[in-house]
Amino acid sequence: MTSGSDLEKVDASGYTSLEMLYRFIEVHFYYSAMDGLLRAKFAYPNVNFRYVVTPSKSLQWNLTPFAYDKTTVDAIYD
Amino acid sequence: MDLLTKVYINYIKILTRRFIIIMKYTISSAVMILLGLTTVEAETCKVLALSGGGQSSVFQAGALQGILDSTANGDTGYDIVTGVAGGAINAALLVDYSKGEESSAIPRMKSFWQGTATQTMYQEWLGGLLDGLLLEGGLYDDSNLKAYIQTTLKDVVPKREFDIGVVDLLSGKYDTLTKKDLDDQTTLDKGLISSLSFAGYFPPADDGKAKFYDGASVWNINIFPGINYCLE
Repeated sequence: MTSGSDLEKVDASGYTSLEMLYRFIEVHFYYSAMDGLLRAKFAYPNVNFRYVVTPSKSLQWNLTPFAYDKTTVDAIYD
Repeated sequence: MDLLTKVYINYIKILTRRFIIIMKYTISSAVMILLGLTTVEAETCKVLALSGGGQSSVFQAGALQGILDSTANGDTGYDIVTGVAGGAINAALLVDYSKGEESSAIPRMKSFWQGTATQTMYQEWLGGLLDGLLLEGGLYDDSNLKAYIQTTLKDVVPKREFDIGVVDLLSGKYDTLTKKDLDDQTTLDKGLISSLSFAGYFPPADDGKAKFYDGASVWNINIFPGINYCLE
């Protein structure tokens, strides 16, 4: 998940509309990914889910797709 | 109430307050789920499920390398690889190699995503963003991205099972592309172009009969097809 293995806490007291939207999207995608996993775990209790691998911290995200430069891509790989 | 139940309840609450989602693909997930399906009498069937994401899907290549480095030989021989959006690209590159040869795919996965960072993947239409907003199927012209996918993945020949999740724009249904679906008309690169057709930003992939977006609007990770394949 871009938000990492845990959903980060933020101070949203000064957020404007766009920042609020970003935060909503961040929260939505965190649970969207979790939902797929949770449903599978509920549906198949006998399946051994060996690993769930997520970034240790949130990955940088941007307003438009394919906005990373090569340095960022390499950093995410590493 | 255990943690999983709390998480699930919170998610349901969020869904009930959901409003129109725009720019959803700017946050891309890069989750990998690795499953080991065991039965009493049979050997383990292994699934690798790669979640949706754009360029952040390069994380999956790095994570897989880490897993290969830290596990015993044979522990990462996946029987089936599933993927959504960027995870579908990684899945396609992985299944170009036989089970147990996962390490060979990792440099190609990394190289693919590096290429997206060093080349122009999309541009504004001739009439600019307004053109995209009012006249085209997406804000941007992604013909460069489509060409890049076709060029870099044209030689992929799946050596094992895979499952790529896409959404049929016309029916609104979740659809999958698997090894047995491939023929002269249904090619892997078309499925992969669909997987990077991010709704709103790019027009849907059009195969002449239907229009497809990536599967993340329905499932950001498709674990079920992998489990079902193993159970069969």
